[in-house]
Amino acid sequence: MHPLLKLSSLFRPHKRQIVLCQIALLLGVGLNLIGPVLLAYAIDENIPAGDGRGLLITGALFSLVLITNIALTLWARIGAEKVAQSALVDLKKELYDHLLDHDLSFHDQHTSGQLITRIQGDASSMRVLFTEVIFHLPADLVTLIGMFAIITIKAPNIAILVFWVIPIYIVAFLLFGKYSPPFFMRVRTVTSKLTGFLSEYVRAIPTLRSFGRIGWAIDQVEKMNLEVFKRQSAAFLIPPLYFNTLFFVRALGFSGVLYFGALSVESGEVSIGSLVLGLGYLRLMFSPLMRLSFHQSTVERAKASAIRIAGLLDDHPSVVDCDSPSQFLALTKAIDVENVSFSYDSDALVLKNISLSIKAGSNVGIVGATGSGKSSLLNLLLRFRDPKQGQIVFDGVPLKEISIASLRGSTGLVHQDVLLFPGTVLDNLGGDRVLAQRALDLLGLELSLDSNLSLGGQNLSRGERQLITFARAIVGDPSLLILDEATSAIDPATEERIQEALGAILEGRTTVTVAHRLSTVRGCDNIFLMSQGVIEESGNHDDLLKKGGEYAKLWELQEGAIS
Amino acid sequence: MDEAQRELDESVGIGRMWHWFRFFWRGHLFVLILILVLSVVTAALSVVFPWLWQFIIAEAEGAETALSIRTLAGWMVAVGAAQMLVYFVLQGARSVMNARIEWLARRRVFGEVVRMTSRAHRAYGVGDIVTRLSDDAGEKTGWFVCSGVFRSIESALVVVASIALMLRIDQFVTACIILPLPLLIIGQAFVQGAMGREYAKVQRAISGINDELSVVFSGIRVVRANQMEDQVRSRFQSQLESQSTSEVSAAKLQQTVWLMYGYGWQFAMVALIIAGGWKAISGEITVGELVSLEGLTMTLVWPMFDFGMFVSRFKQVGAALFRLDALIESESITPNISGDCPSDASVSLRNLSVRTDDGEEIVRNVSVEIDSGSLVAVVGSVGAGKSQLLRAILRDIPVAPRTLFIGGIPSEALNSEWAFDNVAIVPQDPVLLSTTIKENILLGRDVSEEDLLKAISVSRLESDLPMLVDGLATMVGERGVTLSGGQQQRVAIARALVGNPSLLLLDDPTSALDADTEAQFWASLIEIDSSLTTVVVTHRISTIERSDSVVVMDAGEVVQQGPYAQLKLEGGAFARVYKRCLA
Repeated sequence: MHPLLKLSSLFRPHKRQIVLCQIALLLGVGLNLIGPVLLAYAIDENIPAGDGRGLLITGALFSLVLITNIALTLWARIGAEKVAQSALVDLKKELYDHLLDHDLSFHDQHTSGQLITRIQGDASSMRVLFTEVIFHLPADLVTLIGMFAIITIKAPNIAILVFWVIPIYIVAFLLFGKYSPPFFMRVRTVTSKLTGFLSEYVRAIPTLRSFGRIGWAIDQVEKMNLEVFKRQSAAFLIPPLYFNTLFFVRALGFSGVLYFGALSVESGEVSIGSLVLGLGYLRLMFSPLMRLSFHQSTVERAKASAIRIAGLLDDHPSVVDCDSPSQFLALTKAIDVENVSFSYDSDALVLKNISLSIKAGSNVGIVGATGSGKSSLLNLLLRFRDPKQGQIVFDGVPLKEISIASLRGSTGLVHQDVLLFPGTVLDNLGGDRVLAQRALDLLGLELSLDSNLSLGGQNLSRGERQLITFARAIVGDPSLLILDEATSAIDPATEERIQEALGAILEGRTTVTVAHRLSTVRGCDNIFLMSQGVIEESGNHDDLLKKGGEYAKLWELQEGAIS
Repeated sequence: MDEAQRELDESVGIGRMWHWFRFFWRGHLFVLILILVLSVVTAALSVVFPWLWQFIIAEAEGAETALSIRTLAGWMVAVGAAQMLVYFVLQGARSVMNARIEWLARRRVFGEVVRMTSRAHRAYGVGDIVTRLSDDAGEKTGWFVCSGVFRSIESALVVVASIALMLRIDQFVTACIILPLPLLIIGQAFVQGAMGREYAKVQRAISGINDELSVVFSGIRVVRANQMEDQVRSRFQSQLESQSTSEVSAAKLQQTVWLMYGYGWQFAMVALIIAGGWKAISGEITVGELVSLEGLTMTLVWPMFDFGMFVSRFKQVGAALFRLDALIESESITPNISGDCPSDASVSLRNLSVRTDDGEEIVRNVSVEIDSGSLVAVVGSVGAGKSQLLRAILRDIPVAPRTLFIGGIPSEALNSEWAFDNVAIVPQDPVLLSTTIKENILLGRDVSEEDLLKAISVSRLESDLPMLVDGLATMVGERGVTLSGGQQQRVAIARALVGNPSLLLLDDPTSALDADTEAQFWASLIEIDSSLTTVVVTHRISTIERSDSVVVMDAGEVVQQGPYAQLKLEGGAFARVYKRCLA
C-alpha cells in the first residue's frame, strides 16, 4: 500500500467535516466564476439597453455573490485547517507513544534530534499535504473545468484564445518544478549549516578568545556566511525568471484575446462582454494553476515523510510482555542472575556467562572500569534489553514472565545524567503533592514543591539537582533502587551529604549501586568487581582489601594508599 | 528578554533604523540608482498595458482611430515583452541585494559578538545570540531593507500612474473605485500584526515541545525506570493542544488576509459596474474606456498588498534591528596589544575578589603566591569558587586593578597577545567544534607535526586514537557527542598543550585521566617543560599529593594553604573534607 494511503486513516474520524468543507469550497468556486459573467452581462445587456435599474440589480447581484463566496471559502478553509490540526495532533501522539515504548536499543541508535524531526517535521509535512494539496486540488480542477464550460457556451470563439496558455503554463511549471528545487535545497542546507556553525562558534567564543583564535573563528563563520549569500543569490533569481515568464505568457494571452476578439467583434461574431469575460478568466486561472505547480514538490516531500513515519510505526519493540505476565510487587527473596551473556548487535560479548545473587534488602555495589559491563548488567536488570543467553530471576520468577509495567513500578533509578523537566519541582516528582513532599523530607531537601526549575534546573546547585532525581526515584516507594553512577560527578563533600541522606532512604530497600569511584560503594554489603564482562572479585570492602587482589590495588590507586 | 526591553523594542522609529540603512547601502550606489530607474520604467509599462485596451475596443466598435487593431496588438506584445525583461532585472537586482544585506548584517554583528565579554555572552545566552544572528540578521531584514522599501516605492509609482490615467478617463468613477482600497491596507496591516503575535506563540509552543522532547528522549532510561510515561504523555498532549490552538488562530488570520486580496478587491468591480455602467449609458465614457478602467483597477490590487506587507514588517524588522543594536552595544573587550610581556609565569593574587554576574562576591580577598614552574592544587567543595578563581587568572572574569599579577605584571597592563599564547585552560566541560579532532586541537594554529604529536601523547589522547574510526581525522559530532566525556577533555588538554603554554589551568581533569593514566600524564608534562606553571582544581588525593602546594577554598575564601604533607598534619577544613579518604 502507498505510504500516503496508509496515513489517510488519520482523517477518517473527520469524514463528515471534510465533506462539508469540500462542498462549501466548491460552491465558492462556482460563485467565483459568476463574477466576470456579471460584468460581461452589464456590458452586453444593461449598458446598450440603457437599463440603469438593470445595472443596479447586476451590481447588487455581484456583491451578493461576492459576500457569499468569501463567507463559504473562509469557512471551508478554516474548517480544513482545524481538521488538519486535529489529525496532526493524533499522529504526533501516536508517534510519541510509539517512541516512548520503543526498545532502548532503538533509542541508543537515534539521537533525540532525529526523533524530534520525525515528530515535528515529518508529521507537519502531512498537514501541509492535506491543506495545500488534497483539499484544494478538486476545487482548482473544478475552477478550470467550469471556466472552460462557461466560456465555451457563452463565446466559443474566445475559448481557444483563453485556454491556449494552459499548456504553456504547465510546461513552465514542470520545468520550474524540475530544475528549481535543488537550488532551494542548497540554500536550506547551507543556511542550516550556518546556523549550526553559528551556535558552535558563539558557544566557543570564550574558549577561542583565550587561545587568541577569534580571527580564525571570524574567517570560518564568514566562509559559511558568504556561501549562504552565493547560494541565495543563485536561487533568488529563479522565481523572478519564472514569474516574469508566466506574466509574459499572460500578456500574450491578453493581447491575443483583444486582437482576435476585436476582429470577431468587428465581424459581429463576438460581443464585447465576451471579450471582457475572456480577459477576466485569463486573470482568474492564474492562481489555481500556480497552486497546481507547487503541488508536485509538496507531494514529494510528504511522501518522503510518510515513508519515514510508516517505517517508524511498523518497527515494533522487541522487549515486550509475554502472554500472561505475572505481577511483581516487591522483592522479597532475591534477584538471581543465572549464566547471563549479552552482546550489542552480535558483536563481541560484553557480559560473559555471569552469575550472581542479590539478596532482598541488601545493599550491593558493582564497580569496574568503563567498558567492564556494569551498565549492560543494569540494562538487563531493568529489562531495557534481554540477555542473549541465560536468565535473570526475581523471587523465583524469570524476568521475561514479569509484566514490564509492574517491574518498573517497583524500581527506581537515579542516573548519572541529571534529567529535570522544565517545570516545577512537583512536576518533576510525579505530581502527587503528599508523596513528593515525603520524598523531599526523607532526603532533607528544603525546596518548595512549587519552585520553578528553569532550563534543566540551572538555578540549583549540582548537588541539589541530583538530590531531586533521588527524590524522584523514591517517590513511588520502590522496593528496588538502582543508582547508576549517581554521585560520580559530585565532589566528595556533596557526596557525603547525599550519602547521609541516603542512609534514610535505603532502609528496607534493595539497592544496587554502580560506580567507578570505589569510595562510593565501600559501605555496601556485597561488592562485585567487574572486568571485561566477567565478575573478577566479590565480597565486602574489608574482605576485598584483605584479599589484596585487583580491588585492593584499585583502592590504593584511587584513594591514595592511606587506608 | 524582559518586559522593559520588549517595550523598548516596540518603540520603533525610522530615526533609530537609519544608521542601518546607511550601513547597508553605502557602496551600493549604482545598484540603488538602477533599482530606482527600473522601478519608474516598470510602473509606466504596467499601466500602459491596460491603457491600450480601450483603443482596441474602440476600433472593434468601429470608431475611427489613428492606429489599427493589428498595430495596437503589436504594441501590447511589445510592452508585455519589455515589462518581462525590465521587471526580471529589477526583481533580480532586489533579490540579490536582499541576500547581500543579510550577509552584511550577519558579518557586522558576528564581528561584534566575538568582542563581547563572557559576562555579556552569559547574559544573552548562546541560543539568543544565535537567533539574533540567524533570524534578526536574516531573510526578513534583508527583504525589508531592499525589497520592502523598493517594492513600496514601485507600488507607489504604479498607484500614482494608474490613478492618473483613471482620472483622465473619468473622475467620478475613479473616485468610486479607489475609495474603498485603502481599507485593504489598513485591514492587512492590522491582521498581520495580530498574525505575527500568533506565530510568535506558535514558535514558543514549538520550542517548548522541542525542549521537552529532547529531555525525554535523551533521558528515556530514567523516564522508563521511574514509570514517568503517563506524566510525560499528558504534558506532551497539553503542549500539543496549545500549539494547535495557536496554529488554528494564526491560520484564521492568514486566510483572512488571503481572501481580502483574493476577493476583497472585487468590491471595486461593483463600483465599476454601477458607476462606470451608468456613465457609459449616459455616454460620458465609452465601453472601451470602461474596460481600460477595469484593467487599471487590477494593477492597484497587489501594490496595496505590498504596502500592507511593508507596514506590518516595519515593526518586526525595526525590533530585529534594535536587537542587533543591543548586541553591538553590549559590554565588549578590546585586546591590550601594547601591554608588557612577563618573563616568567608566576602568578600572584593579592586580595583578589571575583563577583558573579549578579554581583555576588564568589571569591573573596584571596591572596596566593604561585611560583613559576610549580604545581598548585586547588581543592574545596562545589561552589567554593575554584573554577571562578581559574577563570579570573585566565582574565575571563574582570578583576580589580593590582589584584592579579602574572610574572609580576598587573593583569590590566598585561599584553593580550602574550596571554593568548601563554595562558591555557582546560575547562571541566570543554567546548568542541563539529570538525575533526585535529582541527579541534589546532583551532587553525600553525603547529609543527612534532608539537602536535607531543601534545597528543602527553594528553593521553594517543591511546584513544586507535579506537576512533579515522584517528585524528575523526569528525567530532555536534558538540562533541561522538566522544566520551573523558575523550573530550583529553582533546581539550591537547588543545591547551599544543601552543606550548607557560601557565596551564586545569579545571578538574578527573574524567580525562583515570587513576592509571594520571601518573603518566604528570610525569610527561614535567618532561616536556619543567618551567610550566600549573594550577589544577581537583578532588583526587593522588593529584594533591603530587602538588608543590595546596590551596583549600571554602565559600569563596582560602581557608588553608601549604604543602600537602603540612596540611595533612594540620587538620582543619582540608582534613574534614577528605576525612573519608584519609580515614
